[in-house]
Formats: sequence, C-alpha cells, structure tokens
Amino acid sequence: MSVFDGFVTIALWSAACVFALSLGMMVLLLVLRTVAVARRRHLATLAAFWRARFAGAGGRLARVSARDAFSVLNFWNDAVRAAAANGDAPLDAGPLFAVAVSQDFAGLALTLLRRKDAGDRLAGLTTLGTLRVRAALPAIDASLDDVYGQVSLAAWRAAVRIEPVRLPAFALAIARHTDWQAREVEEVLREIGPEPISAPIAASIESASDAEVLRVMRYLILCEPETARTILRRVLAAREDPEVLASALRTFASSMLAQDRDVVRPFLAHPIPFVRIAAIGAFIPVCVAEDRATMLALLTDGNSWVRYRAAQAALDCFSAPGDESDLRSEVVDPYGRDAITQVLAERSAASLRGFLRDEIPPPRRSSAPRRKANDLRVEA
Amino acid sequence: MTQTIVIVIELGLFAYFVALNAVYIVTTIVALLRMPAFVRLRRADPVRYIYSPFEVPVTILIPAFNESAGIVDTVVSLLEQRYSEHEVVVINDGSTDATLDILRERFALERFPEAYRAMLPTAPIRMIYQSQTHPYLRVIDKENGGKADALNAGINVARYPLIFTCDGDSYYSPDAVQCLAEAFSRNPKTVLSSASIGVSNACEFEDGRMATRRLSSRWIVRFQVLEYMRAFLSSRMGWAPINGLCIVSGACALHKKDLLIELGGFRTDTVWEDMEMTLRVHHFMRAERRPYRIAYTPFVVCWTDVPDTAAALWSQRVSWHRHVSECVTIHRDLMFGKHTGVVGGLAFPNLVAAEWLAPAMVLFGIAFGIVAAYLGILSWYSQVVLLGLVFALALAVCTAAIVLDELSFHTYRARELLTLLAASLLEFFGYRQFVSLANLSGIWSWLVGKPLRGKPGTFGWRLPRSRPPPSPSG
Repeated sequence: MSVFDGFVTIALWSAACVFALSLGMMVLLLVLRTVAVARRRHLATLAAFWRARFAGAGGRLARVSARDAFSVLNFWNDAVRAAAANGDAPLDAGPLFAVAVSQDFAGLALTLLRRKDAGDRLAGLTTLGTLRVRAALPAIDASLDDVYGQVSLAAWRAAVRIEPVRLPAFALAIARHTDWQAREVEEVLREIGPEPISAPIAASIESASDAEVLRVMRYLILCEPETARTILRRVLAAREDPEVLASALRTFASSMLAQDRDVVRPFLAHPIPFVRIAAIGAFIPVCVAEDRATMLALLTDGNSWVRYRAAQAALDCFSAPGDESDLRSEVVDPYGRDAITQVLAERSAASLRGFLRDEIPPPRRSSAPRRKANDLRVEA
Repeated sequence: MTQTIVIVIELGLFAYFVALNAVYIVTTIVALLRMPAFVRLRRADPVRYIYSPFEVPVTILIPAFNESAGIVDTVVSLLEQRYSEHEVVVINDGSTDATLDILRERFALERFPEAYRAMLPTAPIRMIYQSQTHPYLRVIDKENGGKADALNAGINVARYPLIFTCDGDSYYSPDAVQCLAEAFSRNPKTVLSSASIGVSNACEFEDGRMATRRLSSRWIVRFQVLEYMRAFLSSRMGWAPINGLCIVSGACALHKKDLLIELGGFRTDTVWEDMEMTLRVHHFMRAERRPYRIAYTPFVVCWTDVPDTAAALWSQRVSWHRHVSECVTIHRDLMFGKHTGVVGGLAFPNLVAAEWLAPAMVLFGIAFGIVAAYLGILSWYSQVVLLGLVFALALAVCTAAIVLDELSFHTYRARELLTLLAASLLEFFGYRQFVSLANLSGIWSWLVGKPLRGKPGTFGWRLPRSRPPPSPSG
C-alpha cells in the first residue's frame, strides 16, 4: 500500500466519522427542539404560577426544584426590580418577601452560586443581595473578582447591602474595575444614597491614578454637592491629564458655585479643545456680565465645537428671550455668527414640539415585498 | 510522473479544504463553549431601559440612496431605540427617487442653518434639514458620492462621540444601540462594536419591529440563512475573543467617532467600506501599538433582506468579493507583519486563504477533476473519498451552526429547522459552486479594473450590506 493509499484510507474513515457526527448533531437538534418545546411550556406555566404568588395571590406553594431554581429566582428578581421601579412598599413588608422566606430562596440562591454557569451565579447573587443573607457572605466574597463584570458587580452590590461598612472597598473596586457598566454602578450608588457614598468616593479619588480617577469621578454627581465640589477643586488644581480635567469640569457643572468661577476660568484658555468645551459648560451656571467679553471671544475659537458650545453659553447667559438676534449682530466673526444661528435654530425646533411617541407615523403591517432590497436595477 | 503530479495536486487540494474547514470547526467549538454563558447572563440580567446620564450618547447615521420604499420604516425603528441619548442623521446621497420628499413629509423637515464642519471631505452638501416633530432627527441632502461619502458627511455633523452606522433598508430591534454600546461601557479599549444580523425575507414587520419570523420559501434565501448562521454564530463568535474579527458589517456597527476622524473617515474609492474600515482599525491600532478591542455580541439586533434571485445574488457576491480583493491588497502589510499580533498571524491570513482564495481553489479543484477524468488519470475512488471528507466537514460546520442557533435563540420552528437541515445538504449541489463563480468574477473584475454596474458611487448601493464570510468550501 502506497502513502497515498494510506491517506485515502484515513480520509475515508475520517469522512465516515465526521458524517456520523453531523447526523448525530441533526438528531441532537431534533431532540433539543422537542425538549425546548416542552421546556418552554413548563416555563410558561411556572412563570404564571410564581408571578401570581409574588403579586399576593393565595394558594399552595410548590417546592422549587433545582432545575427550576434559575428561572424562579429570575422571576423573583424581575418582580423585585419592577416593584422598586414602581416605588412599591419595602420588600420585607410584601408578599415577595414572604414567598422568598417560605420557599427558602436564600438556600436556592446559594445552590446557584456554587454552580459554574455565570448566569446562575448572577441570579443567585442578585437574590442573596436583595434578601441580605449575612450567612452567604463567604460565598459572595468568592465572586467579588469574578471574570464576568456583571457577576462581580452583583457580588459587590450584595456585599455592600449586607455590610454597608464595605462601601470604601466598593469605591476602590469601582476605580479598579474597567468591566462594570457605568449605568449599573449608578444604580447601585443611587440605591445607597448620597450621604453614605460621598466620603468613600472622595477617598478613592484621592489615591487613584488618572485612569482610575476618570472611572470614579463621574459618580461625584451622585454624592453630596459640598463633598463633590471639594474633591473637584482639588482635582482641577492637582491633575494635568486633559481627560481628567475635562471630566472634572463636566462633573463640576452640576454643582458649581459662584466662588468657583476663578477655579474654572483658566481652563477656558486651555490648549486642548475638549477641555475648553467642558470649561464653558461648567461656566454657564455661574456666568456674570463681566464674563461677556471672554465668552464672546470664544465664539472666534479655532475649534468648531468650542464655538458651538460658546454660542450655547452666550445665549444662555447674555440674551433674554426675544433679543437673541441682538447678540448675533454683536458677533463680528462669521463662524461665531453661524454657531449662534445654528443654536437658535436648534432651540426653536426643539421648542416647537417636543418628541411625542404618537407622532411617529402609524403602524404599517408589511412583509417582504414591502421593499425591494434585492432589486439590483441600477438607476441609469 | 503524471500520476505523482496528480497525487500531489489532489493532496494539496485536500489539505487546503481540510485546513479551511478545520478553522471553521475550531471557531464553532469556541462559539459552542461561549454561547450558553451569553444567553444565560442575558436572562439573569436583561436589558433594562432606564435613563442614565452615564450612557455614552450615540449618533445614528442612515445613508440612503433611492430608499423611498423602506426609509420611513428604518428611521422609525431607529427613532424608537431605547437608549438614554441618541440622535438620528439620515444622509440622502443624491437620491433620484422620492426619498427626500417622503422624509420631508413624514417627519416635517424644515431647512436648518447648521454650521457645517467639514472635518472629512465629501461631495457637496445641498441642504441640512431638521425634523419639526422629532428634535433629534436631521436629514442631510447631498450630492451623490456613494455610501462611504455619505457616512463621512454624517460624521461631520454628528454631535455625539459614538457613531452607529446602518443601512436604509434594514430593521433594527429597539435595543440595538443599547446592545452595541454595552461593549464600550464594559471595556474602555473598545473602538468598534457589532452584533449579529438576521435574514428578514418573508418575515413580517409591524411599526418597524419584527412581528412574525418565518423562513422564506425560496431555496436561494434558505441557503443564505445558513451562511448567516455560520458567519455570525459560528465564525464571529470564534474570532471575537482573540480580537481577530476582520469584518464588521456596515449594516450594524458602532464606531468611536474620534478614531474614525483620526483614520480619515471611510474610504470612498473602494466598492464597500465596512471590511476596509475594520482592517484599517486593526492596521492602525497595531501600528500605533495602542490597546484596542473590536467587540461582538451574538444577539440579532438587525434584520435585512438578502437577494432572492440568482441575478441579484450574483451581483452582490461579485461586489463583495471585489471588496475583499481590494482589502487584502490595501492591507497586505498586515500579513505576518511586525507587531500585527493575532490579526497578522492568524485572522488576516485566514481571510486571504479562506475567503479571498477559496473560489479559485474550488473552481481549480473542479477543473482539475474534469481534466484528470478526461485524460483518464483520475483515481475515482480517492477523488470520491476526499470529496466526501470535505463534504462531511462542511456539513458538520453547517449543522453545528443550526444547533447553535437552536440552543441559543430558537429562531425557527421545527418544520423550518428540518428545511434548514435539508438546505445544508442541498447547498453543496450547485449553490456553493455558483457563489464561488460569482466570487471569482469579483476577483476578475477587480483584476481588470472593470467598473461595476451603474455610475460611480452608486454601484451595489441597493444590495444588503450584511456580509457573511464565505461558506466552508466543498
């Protein structure tokens, strides 16, 4: 037998094996589909049953099997989120809490937390945090540095809920974690409230690198204004990184006081355009008549976005309704005038009619022939 | 001597196709391992629509050339995005039909004195309009310059730091922007983010949203559904974790505006713009030694019609493959280049071998078989065995992609799954060879510099922009 014949024999057997594998996958697909149909039906029944119980409906509660633990805890977590969004009564006073206690959801959550699947762990952590199960802290601690950002944030959220003294560590974790979604961190911080988070957030900024400061500083808008102002003044005085400065100025805009004008003013002449833009934004709330010349000078800036922001600021600070065109005629620079014209047009468009959902064209039922995406006739 | 040459050629072709399918099998295995975590994490942490000042605002660009039939639906589906802050900019690229009139009427457009900033050069702008009913909808009317030029004009007026590029003839789910933007929020190195695209032929839409999912009754569409499954669920899920995505579809991509401007915007001298931009991002970031990531999420957030006639498919594939030819030559330095990492060492060579050269290899294999048979030097037994192995490997990849979809999304009903399985067998008999011929024609048109149909800047404009990578050849 030649080498080539040997190859052919190997190829023959490989082909047979791979073909059998394909057939096996086809059968698996059909099995999966059958199981999925049954599973979906089961989940629909489960959802209807548990959602009714969470809403307070009476009746005997069935024991939750390990197989259904993930789904039932997800239903419960969703119900808790919906109740929180609606501003309903505190959790420990309603049927949600009663069901969770009577069915030992904490035990189920701990079971999920021990599993490998990230989704299971996330569902378990969310439940444990909501129920504030102190006994679960060692298990929760093991997930604080999970490879999945959602899971580690859920673990920190649960830990902070159970032990609020961990807030300083949480603030440091915010600085460290690049994989946490800002809006989710915001949700956690809002839940805790401005007073408890202010000092830890401020402390974490003091010792952080520029990249870390960037990640944490934005949350100062959720802290107490006085703490935020103190920290921001320090950052603006001590740091040089343009991104940090711009971020600090943007954050400053929401809490600035008149006495901070001198802190911000130098940044109106910063060499980096995005720092100047942020400085203009911060300056708007405290702008006074004597700043008029400075602001109008920015309308001649070489960067179009600076001119645009300066036009917004000038119109906000120095023109009363109806006399906006006076300001426009005062500006000699044609680019600056264009910027004012644009901002005026934007404002008139926005004030004509706000966005209303029912102004979207009426529903149109359509199918494939609706548009001829495949019509390749090219226009002559 | 002749026999030895025949054996060498046979073994060479065999090794090529096995290697090509092996890459697909590896990416499919990676996808099978990663997908369950994605799906269950999403179940445990569903997308919630809460206004947050911490979400990075997004500008949605919709380039439109003669899209009068579907533009309103597309704009509506994008206006209804559930995202904290976004604006929609439609760029009418010199349409000769009623696209602009329809937009003007449906969204009450008024002329707007925008202080236009031409950071990127484009064809002349005629007028900028602002909707009086939707404050965050603007329309740019410009002279025709092609999709890339239209996108560049959109970048010039974009107010927000992230740019979502899309097509005027696709549908977008309400969480499309949210899904793509999540990658930027979770990883600061992200510069480009994309998601899966679904085939919408025969599906029904209501108010810009998918109402009924259905598999088309046309086989040519079914074969393309399989291609999309392989491309988005198997291939991209496999390449994404090693930052090796060589193509991010222009129909559904979220870019960092700063980087787009730094790169000089989209190239207007190539047939398409998406693959070129993806490779340029790799090339630039690797050369500059900057950390970056091109993210991918497997959830289908965009639906598009695929060609349902052979002529349409032919034109589409000719233009796609011409673009692949342009890209591999423009970015040839990426191949095993210094500091090009996994892209230069693995992903780009795979693009060249598995996508660019595949049609030539397929047709060479067929031609070789015919000539060898004619000369009587073909070993029929070995030929059948080798073809059988390639067929079996490609079938395994295809079936795995269907299993992946069923495991994750349950997109199709039981009968449709059976139809897809049948399609996975049938596509080897005619469809793949047809696509290979079209691709080869694309290489030829690039080689001879033949202009594609239509006037410059409009060719291929009405083709769906969602590009799957090639089928594993068989």
